[in-house]
Formats: sequence, structure tokens, C-alpha cells
Amino acid sequence: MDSSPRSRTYCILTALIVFVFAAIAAGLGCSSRSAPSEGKTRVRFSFWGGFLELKLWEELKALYEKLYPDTVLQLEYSPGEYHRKLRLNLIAGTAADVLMVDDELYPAYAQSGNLENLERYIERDRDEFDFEDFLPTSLESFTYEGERFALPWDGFSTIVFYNCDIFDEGGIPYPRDDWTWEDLQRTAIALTKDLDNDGRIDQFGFNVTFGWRDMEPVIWSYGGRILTPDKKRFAMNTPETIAALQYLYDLKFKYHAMPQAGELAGMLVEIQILTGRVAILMAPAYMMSIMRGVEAMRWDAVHMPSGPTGKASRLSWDGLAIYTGSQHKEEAWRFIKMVLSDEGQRIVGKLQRGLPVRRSAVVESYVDPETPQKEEKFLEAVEYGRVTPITVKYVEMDFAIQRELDKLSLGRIDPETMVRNLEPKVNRLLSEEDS
Amino acid sequence: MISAKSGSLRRAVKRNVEGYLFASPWIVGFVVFTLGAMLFSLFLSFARWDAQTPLDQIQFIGPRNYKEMFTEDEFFYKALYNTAYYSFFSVPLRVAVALLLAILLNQKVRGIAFFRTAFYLPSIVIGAATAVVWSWIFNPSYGPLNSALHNVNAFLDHVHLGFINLPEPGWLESELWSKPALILMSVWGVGSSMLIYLAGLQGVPGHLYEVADLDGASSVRKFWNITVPMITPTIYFNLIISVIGAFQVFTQVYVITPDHAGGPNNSTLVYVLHLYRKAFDELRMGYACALAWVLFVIILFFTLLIIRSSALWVYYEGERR
Repeated sequence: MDSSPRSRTYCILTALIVFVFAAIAAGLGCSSRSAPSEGKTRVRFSFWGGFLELKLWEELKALYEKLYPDTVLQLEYSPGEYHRKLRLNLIAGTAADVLMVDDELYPAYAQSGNLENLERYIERDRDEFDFEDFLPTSLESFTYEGERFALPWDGFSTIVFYNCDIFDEGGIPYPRDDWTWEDLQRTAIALTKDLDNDGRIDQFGFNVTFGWRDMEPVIWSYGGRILTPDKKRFAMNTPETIAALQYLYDLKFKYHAMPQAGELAGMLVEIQILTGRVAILMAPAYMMSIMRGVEAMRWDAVHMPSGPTGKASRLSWDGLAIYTGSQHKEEAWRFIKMVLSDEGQRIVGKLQRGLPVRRSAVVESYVDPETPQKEEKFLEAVEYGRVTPITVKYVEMDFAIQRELDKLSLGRIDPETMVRNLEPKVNRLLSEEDS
Repeated sequence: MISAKSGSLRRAVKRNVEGYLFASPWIVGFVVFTLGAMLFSLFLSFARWDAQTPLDQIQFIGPRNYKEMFTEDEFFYKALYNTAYYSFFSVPLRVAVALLLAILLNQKVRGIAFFRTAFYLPSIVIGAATAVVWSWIFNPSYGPLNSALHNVNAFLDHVHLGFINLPEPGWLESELWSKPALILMSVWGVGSSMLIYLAGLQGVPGHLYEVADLDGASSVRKFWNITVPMITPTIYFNLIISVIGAFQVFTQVYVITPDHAGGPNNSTLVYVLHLYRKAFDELRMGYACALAWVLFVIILFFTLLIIRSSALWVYYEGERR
């Protein structure tokens, strides 16, 4: 080996760097183990969401630790890719004690045997629950083969938001709660404008994501549906569903009152309405928590327009479950009960992320008399709301439908072709479920 | 006889034991984490397993996964086509751009160290971050690329050249342009192969150029008759690495397409993204392993093709092997 002073200096430097990295790694290893919870039980809770959710769970954590001083709640927060992470944790057997699950993936999780059956706990603590107070469809969304493996804690209805400033500038009256899809179409066309005359539209009258769940309220209010009521067969191939899809298709391609591919690309829908690029938006209630903080524009919400068979709104629920591999199931159960208690639900409602799952909490804390908007509408929408037909094959069905919808939203196929293409694919998936 | 043989064997083991011991961290790592994992995935490719149930629940199903891939999976051929399209254009483009940059950076000009650093810098940035920036550049409504094209068109109109109209494509939003956009993006990361070319260029002996100069050769001639033949081993190496990388393209597509779905209309559904979706969305580990093995065979085929063809075009100054 060359032993010139220079190469020795490099050797020493390299050794130092290695030493420093090793020390850091060892330090990290230690710090993750030693925590200020000597002698306390640590309960882990994994969830997803934005900063607002983090705030919500920090408040609920404080309440939990006040109620149960011998327990520490560890918040495990994933801003994105939550479900992929959870799956990997389940595979590795390192999932948290309490898991947030959504209604869409719930059947698949329940089937996998990773969620604790909660019937025994519910039966034991029956008098602590007022299930009558739970909003309709919420409990059903977390029932799998007649048993509950999770309980809902919050949810959303879909409703229509609009930018008041755009309406005022266009001299068009605000929409009324008894409006129809024809009214929406007329208003959207009137509000679509090329403001700087460069041949490109800058302000669109309406937008809704071309996703099948987002389109469901239109399909339902036209009398159509995605699957048969028993969720065994595909049911979109009807004149009603095709008419609903055609309605949205025309708004996009015939009237160009909705952005087409490439227009407003990469811009989140909430940014589209906040920046005045879109006048009317159909979106879930959580949009309110985003719009709430904005003072530069005025906005309001209005009920869903009516179609041939009335109004429809899409409901979606988030639930809490206990991991079967948990060592602290009782503590985990106490946490779930606390979130569903009067006090826990009031905290959920106050932050307005979504509707608390209990009606009393919606009325007491979600509805805020201080704001110009009427939060009651989100609760009223629950009454005419429905849930997406969800099965164990949800992910595959979602992928299949969405691929065909992509073609529709690019204008490559018409609604009739789309449902015709989809029928055998979805039916095949649904028949695999039984095998 | 036997004892003599075993005696020599014992001596051989004794002689080499230190060597094996020193190599053991790598050997153990390779056998357990690479070879072991590969054999397990080969086995899984003939099985059905959702990765959520214990290992004893793995169901052996024979070549059914492979059969499904070739006869039923409607996205398999689409993914294969997209990947082939991407590789076919991105590999030659990357080789050409990297070589061109290396030649420029091999010139004796002031501040060459700065230019070398600047052109290598994009390779240091992780793929996901690069992809986010490029998806903004390609944004058809407010991205700088289309704004520039729009302004150029406006200028052409202004100077009465309106008949020349540059396209303002939807890039990642358009079925037609999404793959070209990915290919353009891939050129951004040529830094590391550029560096290898640069090393290759610096290894070309100067006396060859001197001789050529004496004979009055032009620079184009010198490039084709000296530079290119002398760096064919470098091109050869870079070509193999680029082909392998191109067939495995994943990060950029995963980051830039909404819901990681490979849209619009599957035009960017590349092979590894398809594999990833099968494994981690549908939890079909067996099927995903089968896809992985088919990709392995495809890459092996192209790599062997390049290796076999190398005798025809790669020039080694040393002895031919």
C-alpha cells in the first residue's frame, strides 16, 4: 500500500466519515427506542390526511392521554400512499394497533383476516353506544358478511360548490336548492368564457373529475346504477346511465363548459374554483375545510341538482379498526370508543374535515352559525345520499372502469361504447369473487 | 490415491479459506438476498399468493400465470409496446446526447470544470424530484415549454410567417405525446453515461490525432475514424446499461401520472408499472413474479444480442478475446 502522507490523510478522513455515519445510525437506533413513556403502554395509530387531519388527531390524542394517563398514543401519519404502506406493514406484521380504513378498501381488508372482529367488544359495551345517532349508511359501510370489523368515525356527502364572484361578474343569479341538471347546464354554458380573447377558454362553467365515483350522483339521479343491488352483476348498460354519462360528455365536448384533457392540467379542483378558473364544482364536503381558510373570494354551497328521479349525493365513510396482530387490543378499543364519544365527535365536527358520524355532533359542532355558508346542507345531503357499491374486488373494478372512463374523457369513445366495453370485464371480475 | 487427493483438497481449502472468509459478507449477501430472493420469485411465478397470508398458503398453480399473461391480460401487450417504444427511442437518443456532451466537455476551454459539473448535476437529483419538475415544464396550460411555443407562434404570426405553426402538444395529457415527453425527460439524466464517455475520450491516445493532422484529415473524419472506433468499448458498456435501464423505466411514470395509473388511456403504462400494480394494488405476487421473469428474459435477450454483435463493431486495442 502506498504510504505517502497524502494517502494516509485520505485513509484517516474515510475512517472518520465511516465512524460519524455509524455513530449517527447507532444514535438513531437508540433514540427511536427510548421515549418518555417509561412504564406506559404505547398504542400506535396509523392514518392518512393533510395537516388538518394531523391537528385533529393531535387534539384527540391529548384527550385520550388525559382520560387514560397510563397510555401513550403514537400517531403514525402518512400524507400519501397510506394504503400501500399499510399493506406492506400488514405483510410484515408491523401494522399499528388502531388502523384507519376507508369504506372502499374495507371489504378486502376484512376478508384478509387482518382486522379484529368488533362484535364481541360492541356487545360487551353496548350501553356506551347510541347507534341510532349514527348517520344512515355509515354503519352498513363497515359491515362485512354481517359482522363489523371497523366502526365509522367521519364521512362526506357530495354537494355543489360555487364561486360567488364569477356569478356576480356574469350577472347570473346564484343557483337555488331546487335546481335541475338542465339549470346547471345552462348556467355552466353562460359562465364559460375566453376572458383575454386568445382563443383559449380561461373560465369554465363547471367541473367534476371524470372518475366513476365522482359521476355516480349524476348517474343515480338519472335513475342509473353501477352494479345490481346485490352487487353481483354490472348494471351500467341502461338508457338511464348512458343518458347521465351523455349529459357530462356533452358538457365537456359539445358545449365545452368543462375543461378537456390538457386544460387546467395538473391543477387541483379546489385551486380551480379558488382561482376563478371554474365557476361550479361538484365535490365531496371535505372541500369546505380547504375553502374555509380563503378570504380572497366568496363561495357557497348548494344542493345537488335534480334529475329525472330526483337528487342524489355520494356518501363515503372512514372507519377505525383494530389490527388482529395488536398486543394492545383493549387500549385500541378504548381509543375507538373515545373518538365515537360525545366529546370525541365534537372535536371531529369542530375541525370540519368531514361530517362527524353522529348526527348530534354534526348539529352541535359541525354546523357553525358564524359562517355565511350553511353547513346543514351537508347533513341534508346525507338524507338523499347513497354509497358506492363496494366489493372485495374494488381495486380491480376501479381500475377497469377508470381505464374505460379515460377513453371517454379523452373523447375517444362515446358513453354507449364505454358501458358496452365494460360489461364483460366487470362481470368477469365479479364472478371471480365467488370462486 | 484417494488419500492423496483429499490431502491436496484439504491443502487447497486451507490455502483459500482466508480468501473465502474475506469474501463471505458478499457471498452471504448474494446467496441470501439476491439468489435466494430470485429463486423464491421464480417459484412464486408458478403460484398464487396475496402476500397477506402465511407462506404455507401459497398455492401452486403451474404455468397458469404465464398463460394468463400471454392470452388474457389485455394490458400486458400494451405495457410491452409502451416499454419497447420508450426504449427504442430513448436509448439511441441518450447515447447520442451523452456522447455529444462528452465531446463538448472534452474541449480545452476556460471554466470547463464548471460546465462538467453543471451538466452532471441533474444526475445527482433523485428521479422523483426531476419528474415533478418536468411534469410542470410539460404542463400544457401553464408550463414554460408550451408558453414558449405559444410565444414563438405569436412571433411567427407577427412577422407574417404564420404558415409555420409549431405544435403546442398536450404532452403528458395527450396519448400521442406522452411517450415522447417521457423520452425527452430521460435525456435529462444522461450525466452518468456522459461521464463515462468523457473518461473514454480522454483515453484516446493523442498521437493518433497528430498523425491524422499530418495527413490533413478533417475534424469530421477524425471523429468517425479515430474517436468513434477508439471509444466503442465505452459505447458498448453504456449501450448495455441504457437498454437495461430503459426496459426497467418506472420512477418517472409512477410520479407523473395521476393515481400512478399510466394514463392517459394507458399510453404511459410501462412494463414495470404494470408489474407494480399487479403486485401492490391487486396483491397478486405470483402473477407479478411471472411478469418480472418475462422481463428478465427480454432484457437478457437484448443484452446477449448486443454482446454477440459486439465482435462486429467493438474495437479493443489489446488482444481480441
